[in-house]
Amino acid sequence: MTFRILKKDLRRKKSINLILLLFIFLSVTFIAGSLNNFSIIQRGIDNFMEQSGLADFHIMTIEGSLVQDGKKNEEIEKFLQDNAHVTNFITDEQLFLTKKQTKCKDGTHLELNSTVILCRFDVKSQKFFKEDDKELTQMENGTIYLSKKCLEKNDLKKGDELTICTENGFEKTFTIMGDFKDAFLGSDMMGSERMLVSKADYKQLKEESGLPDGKLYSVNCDDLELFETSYHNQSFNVLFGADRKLIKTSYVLETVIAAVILSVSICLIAIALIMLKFTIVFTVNEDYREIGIMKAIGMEDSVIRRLYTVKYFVLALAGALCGFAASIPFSRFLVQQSTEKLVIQYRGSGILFQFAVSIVIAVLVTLSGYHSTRKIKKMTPMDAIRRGNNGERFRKKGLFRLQGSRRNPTTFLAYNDVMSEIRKYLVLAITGMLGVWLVVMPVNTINTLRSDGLLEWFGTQKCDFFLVDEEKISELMLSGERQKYYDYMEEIRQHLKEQEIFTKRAYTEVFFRLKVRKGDKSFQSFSLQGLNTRMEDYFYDEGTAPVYENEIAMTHIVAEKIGAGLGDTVYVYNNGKEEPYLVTALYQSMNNMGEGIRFTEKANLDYQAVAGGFGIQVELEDKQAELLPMIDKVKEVLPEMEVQTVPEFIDHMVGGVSERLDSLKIMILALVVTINILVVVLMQKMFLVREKGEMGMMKAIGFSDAAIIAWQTKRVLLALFVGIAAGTLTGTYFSEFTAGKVFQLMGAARIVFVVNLLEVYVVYPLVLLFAVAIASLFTMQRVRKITVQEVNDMD
Amino acid sequence: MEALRVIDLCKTYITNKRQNNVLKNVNFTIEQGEMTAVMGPSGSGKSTLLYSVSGMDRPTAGQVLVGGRDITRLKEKELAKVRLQDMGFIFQQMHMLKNLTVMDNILLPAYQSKQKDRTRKEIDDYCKALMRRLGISEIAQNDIMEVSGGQLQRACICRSMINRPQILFADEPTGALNRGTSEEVMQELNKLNQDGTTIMLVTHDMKVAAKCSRILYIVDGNIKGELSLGRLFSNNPKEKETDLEKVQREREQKLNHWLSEMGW
Repeated sequence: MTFRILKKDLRRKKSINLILLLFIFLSVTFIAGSLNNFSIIQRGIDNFMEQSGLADFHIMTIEGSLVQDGKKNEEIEKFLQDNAHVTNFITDEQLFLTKKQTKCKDGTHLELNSTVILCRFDVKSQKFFKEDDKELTQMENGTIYLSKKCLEKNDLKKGDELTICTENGFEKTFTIMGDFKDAFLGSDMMGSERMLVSKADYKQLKEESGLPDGKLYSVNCDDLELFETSYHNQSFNVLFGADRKLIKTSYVLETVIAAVILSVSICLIAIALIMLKFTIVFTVNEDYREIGIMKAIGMEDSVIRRLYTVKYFVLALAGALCGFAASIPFSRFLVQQSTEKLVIQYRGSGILFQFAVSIVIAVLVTLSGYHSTRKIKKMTPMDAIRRGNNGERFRKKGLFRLQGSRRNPTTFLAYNDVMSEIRKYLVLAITGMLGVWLVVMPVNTINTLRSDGLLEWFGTQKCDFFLVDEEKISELMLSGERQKYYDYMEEIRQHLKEQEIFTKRAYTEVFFRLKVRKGDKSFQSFSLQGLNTRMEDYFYDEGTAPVYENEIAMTHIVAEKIGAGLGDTVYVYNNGKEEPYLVTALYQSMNNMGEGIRFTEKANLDYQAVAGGFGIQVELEDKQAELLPMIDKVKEVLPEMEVQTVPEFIDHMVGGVSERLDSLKIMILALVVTINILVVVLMQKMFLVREKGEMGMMKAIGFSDAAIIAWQTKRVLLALFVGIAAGTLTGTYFSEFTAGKVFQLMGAARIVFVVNLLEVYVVYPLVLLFAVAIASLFTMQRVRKITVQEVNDMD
Repeated sequence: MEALRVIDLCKTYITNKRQNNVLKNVNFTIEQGEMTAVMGPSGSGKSTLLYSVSGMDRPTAGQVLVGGRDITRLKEKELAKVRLQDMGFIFQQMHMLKNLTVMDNILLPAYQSKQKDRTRKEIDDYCKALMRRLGISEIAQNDIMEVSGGQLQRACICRSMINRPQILFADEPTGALNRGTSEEVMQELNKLNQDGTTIMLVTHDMKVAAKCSRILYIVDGNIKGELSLGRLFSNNPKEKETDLEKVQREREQKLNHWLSEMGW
């Protein structure tokens, strides 16, 4: 009998059941796929580091004038040998290459984000892997492996040629063998890239090319914390010194994308459960006759509830199985997208996990279904007799009065229905709100990532564009003279002026890695000094901008590490001695995971110990001029330089995440629109069943089909509008709550999201409303088939 | 003057490839101010006839002229307008929208009709007057669940009258009411008819039919006969004083006799 009832019921409410099935299917597909993806990435990052044999701590140095007054490589090695917490350390050699030292077949230089580290494929400290996750165990002479981002950026492929040519006339052409996976420098957030060559080629390059070389110390410790404390107590001027945890954090973006999809999936299952509850309560109310009669003939509540639960179990199981099947390719796609840079050991083993997730969702849906049937317990045989009424003559009245209202009757009816039965329409409002949240979050994140405002978080001031010449930066670094920076900036300004590009200012940020100490706590911190900048133009959370040469600002993270606060005196190792500085301000930064000390321009820092620099920032004289044509002109005038717009610079800093979020945004928008359409269609279908009588009656009293469709559509749109409005107003908080956490991981604890008012408050809400209005109008065409005689179906 | 003229009206339903001719070339005319009852055995086509002539359902063939205008040729939108402005309809069940008060339910078609000759204030006043006339002023702001069946049916009559229609259709208007309430509702319909509203109703109830001026008897989709009982009320004040109950009894007897002849 159960089967017969089930079959009849499935047939009777075909479209409603189909939409529910679709919901469960989508939920299972997304949640099983994205959970598996998330878990694979989480495990994958650890596994990749483990497989690569990454050490606990890494120190990278460059030979030349950088390590002069600080302790030399030998001193680092001595420190490592003598340190009680170091179990072992490995030293590898590497060369540093700039883009001008590369040449593609067409004669152009490689487009590179930063200086490239060139090393042997068989370094002692870590293993590299090929695209197919197999370890790179051999390389032929004359071949080279590049990073994936380098290949993609330069549109290169396996078999293409790349020439390395240096100033001393050395030239060697390599055949590109493809890309490789690098646990240390492979993440988007790591500034440097790596290229691999054979042992013999490396030897030749080292001996003949004249490229600057450096060392990489990979240190394993028995107590990393104690080792780090002792390391930071030293004052090594190194290019990079960080632990494995920081390298792992640099993969945060891989996790972010997976987390975004997982959040979407969780919202999806929430909507599916709400819809299910709504449908069950609706169906139970609809079936008062059947339920009343079943009770009258002596069937127990549990038996009747079981009848309904079986139906939802069948739907849940069918949806879960289909969803599970679809989640396999979906998960593969996600994993493939997210793990291009990782070596994943468990690629295939997620199927069992996905199956388990699908079954859990099926059980959850069934239990939720069973829970929602509890209204059956309250129904009596009298319901069948009293047409679903329990004899109670009083109930909550409609909230508003048509009498005296100036509204169009259909608008009034829609408004009154929604306001009088808010719970019924809440599901629509919630769906709309969640939908907006899901869309607004990536939109706000992308806009924030692309805004000028984010520059502040990277320790730079606002500007119109950046001029980047890696070679020149290296040259300035190696010169060890501050004046050369000023001369270079003036030279650029003059050059632009000659071409009638008038600039107001040219300025730059020079960075150092300096030891800062307060009491017995010290830390090797990323430090910045702006040249031609104004200290008051930087952003500070607390305190006031440093003014004098002995004043500094520092990030909360550095302050916390050494236990310093506003007004404290700290000691910075500079010019071979410790100098006292007063902390006048605290700020946040997304550089180096939140590390940072800012010196005034007056501070006499040791330019022999410069660790790097951003490009030259340029502010134009004419603020009214259109920026992009001007930038095009600058590109023509300075062809040897890379001209970056502010969004390009930020994108480079955060490793192209905005681009990936952008593509995800479209997918989320499509999904949100689909979900909202499905919810609306499902609800409209149910209203059509329940309100057939009312619609028949309205036809009888002279309402046209169009007026009835308008009433129904306005009602849905109003409920959705309330949800969308609530979502729009709170969407930014949701962004802060979710994406804000990612910024926090990157060092910006209190980021203010840039909200594109037109996009967030107008375009996306309208897209959603428009799509839903069309779907609603389309669904409600069924009204035309309702006849006046159906007034007899009215309860 | 003709309020309604039905010419060769046919209605055929096709169910499971079987043709069911419910109305077969029905012809009749209802004059302005007449109150006509349609009677007949179950399945004879009474309700189908009522729905077809009131523009609620499309006939298969034939013409329905309301005020000289053939409503069978109208498009759905035009037909809805006719139903809204020129016709009123009363159902057996007192169907109303549950989120509106009684008065709002009555006002709804008037507000929808967008009449240029009446402001909303005038409509409200007219509604109040109608409700007063039908004795339901006190339930104006009540929820439809808070009033009795008789009150609700009177509210439905008010709703059907709110746009001052030329003709009022009623499908078993007292079918869901007890005897006392039925009497009250019929009295109201008679009063409306006396004020000039043309009424066509379908009923099984001889007492209800006896209050009408004319009875059409339908069998198997055809009008088998018709009986004229004359108006229950006349404009002569003296006649109003006569014993209504006695007049009603005589009308019922006459109707009963005629129906027996028809095979009722």
